[in-house]
Amino acid sequence: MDDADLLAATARGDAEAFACFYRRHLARVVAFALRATGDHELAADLAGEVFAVALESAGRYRPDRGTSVPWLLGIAHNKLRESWRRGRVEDATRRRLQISPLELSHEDLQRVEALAAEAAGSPAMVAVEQLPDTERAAVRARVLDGRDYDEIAAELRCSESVVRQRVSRGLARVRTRLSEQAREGERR
Amino acid sequence: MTDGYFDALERELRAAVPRAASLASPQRRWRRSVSNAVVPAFGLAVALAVAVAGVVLLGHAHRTAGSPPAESPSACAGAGSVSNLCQLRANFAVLRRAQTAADRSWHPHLPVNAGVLPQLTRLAAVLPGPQRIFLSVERFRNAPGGEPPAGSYSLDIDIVSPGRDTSANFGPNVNYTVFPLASPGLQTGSRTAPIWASIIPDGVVRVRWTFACPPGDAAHCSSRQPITITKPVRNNVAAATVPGTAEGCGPAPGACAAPATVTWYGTGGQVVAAFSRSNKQNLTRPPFIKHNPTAPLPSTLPAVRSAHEQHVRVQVAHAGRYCTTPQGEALMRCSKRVQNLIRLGGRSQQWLVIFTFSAPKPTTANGRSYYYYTVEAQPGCPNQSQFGADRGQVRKRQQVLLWAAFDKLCPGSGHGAISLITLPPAGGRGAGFTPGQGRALQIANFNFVIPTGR
Repeated sequence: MDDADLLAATARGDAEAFACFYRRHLARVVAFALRATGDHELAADLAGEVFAVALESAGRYRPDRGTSVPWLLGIAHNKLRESWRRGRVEDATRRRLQISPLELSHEDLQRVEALAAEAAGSPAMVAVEQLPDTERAAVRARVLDGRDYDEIAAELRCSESVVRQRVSRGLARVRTRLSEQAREGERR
Repeated sequence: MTDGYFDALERELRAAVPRAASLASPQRRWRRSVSNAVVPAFGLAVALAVAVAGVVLLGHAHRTAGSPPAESPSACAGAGSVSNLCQLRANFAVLRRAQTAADRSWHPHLPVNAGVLPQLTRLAAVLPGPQRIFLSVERFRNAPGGEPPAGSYSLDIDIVSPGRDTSANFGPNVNYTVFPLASPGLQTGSRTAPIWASIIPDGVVRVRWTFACPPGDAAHCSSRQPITITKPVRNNVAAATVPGTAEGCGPAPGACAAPATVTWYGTGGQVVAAFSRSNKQNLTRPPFIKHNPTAPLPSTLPAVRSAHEQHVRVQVAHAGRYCTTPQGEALMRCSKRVQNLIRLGGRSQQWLVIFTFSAPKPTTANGRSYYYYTVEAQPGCPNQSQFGADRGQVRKRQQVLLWAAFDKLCPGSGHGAISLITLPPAGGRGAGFTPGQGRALQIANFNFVIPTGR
């Protein structure tokens, strides 16, 4: 089942479908949160809220507007900004869904590290790493770190439109590379 | 074995799926009815308002993205024995991070003359069993005796377990918890292993606690062997469950080894502060390491080369052959002719590194100057980093003998350094090992090798 099917099933109340979605994207969300916060505990807490929001919003996901990964990372990005603004990681959705507060042990913190490393080794991340330098920097800053175009432009000393172009080209290359890999996998 | 955080999260999310589905349905119905009822102009106005708010909030978020910065030390003037909020935030990274849901799972009990700052409560440590350690900040109102002063802040530590809450604060009345506080911990058989916890400021990554039988209580202690543990600092807290220790001795023999010495290590493995009960020291200022507003940063052990570089004679021997006097001030070969000696090593088969050097300068009798050493074994060694000092008066060119015991699991090369520490002249009450004070003159470096096996 692809992500759209899983989210549609989740909206109908299929717990197994959401568990599958959660396991599929946990490493990516944790890696994003860890990169954004630099703190293992905050990353784990943020991931909890992101998946709670994703669960609550599953019925509103529209596959025709884009794949689920940008949708999920968009939630993560919003939650991150909200958390910094309020000085605390939000748990409003978890409370609304009656999800108990969970505590982290030392082993859990190591798991955060492992999940982040796992995401770094994913085919998508490998494809990002293989991009030309200028495109890789732009894609990382915009897509992985969720930074604004004007900020990236200032840092890379180019115009916003150039950054947008590099991101667009970079993502196109990543998509092509992933499609090729998928086709190769099917042939085997 | 319990599930980890992410397994438990998956379980909770699965259980929440039906609730989410039931919550989502009426919301969608409401949204459809609203969209059918309202005029397009209202929708446009809402969209504009959201867009404007979004721009404002994004701008704000852009400014505040990343960790909130620590207050600069210069902005935290007016340091006394009680910390202000600025100092607390500048010296405790845990207060600068965002609050998590787990942080909000506990609410401190407050004295009548204080108010809590709920946004600064933090879950600092989760211990095996039901115990949790929380940090919280309270602000004092007028107290009957004027202590602590109204408007001042206190960082509290609470070891919380069902039906019990052991608490102390980062204040001068308890030496800023430099010597850890204890809470009855896990019951193992007929004995309870207390939990020890201490608030540790930024700049310290590891602590070393030595528990020893209090002087004069030897008859009540079940063991006279000191217990030494090293723990990493997380969330500005060091915590450990230490069997065989207690806060004090009862009338019957039992475990009563209490914290005797405390050492704080910085990121580079260097000692940044050392404290000893035997000196009856009372700290009169917060032992801040990173942002010390009133004193220059500690120069405890910088690698200052000097003209006093000394030759050090190093000997590595089986610790079991050596004994110390009861107070640990002298090392000698064990002899039945000398009473009350304490044998080193014991069953753990430690190696003793003994190093001797000729004192290039005398030290003073009042303890304001002394020779200080650090030794470092291979990473992975249970007691990899150690320190110590010769607190006695030393004459110039006197042979000074110091030693450190390493576990048998520490084979390989190690190194050490010896420094002469000079504290500034005593200025009123409480002068002692206050971190941030003292000048270090490194006088020697040396290497040693701990053999493999016995």
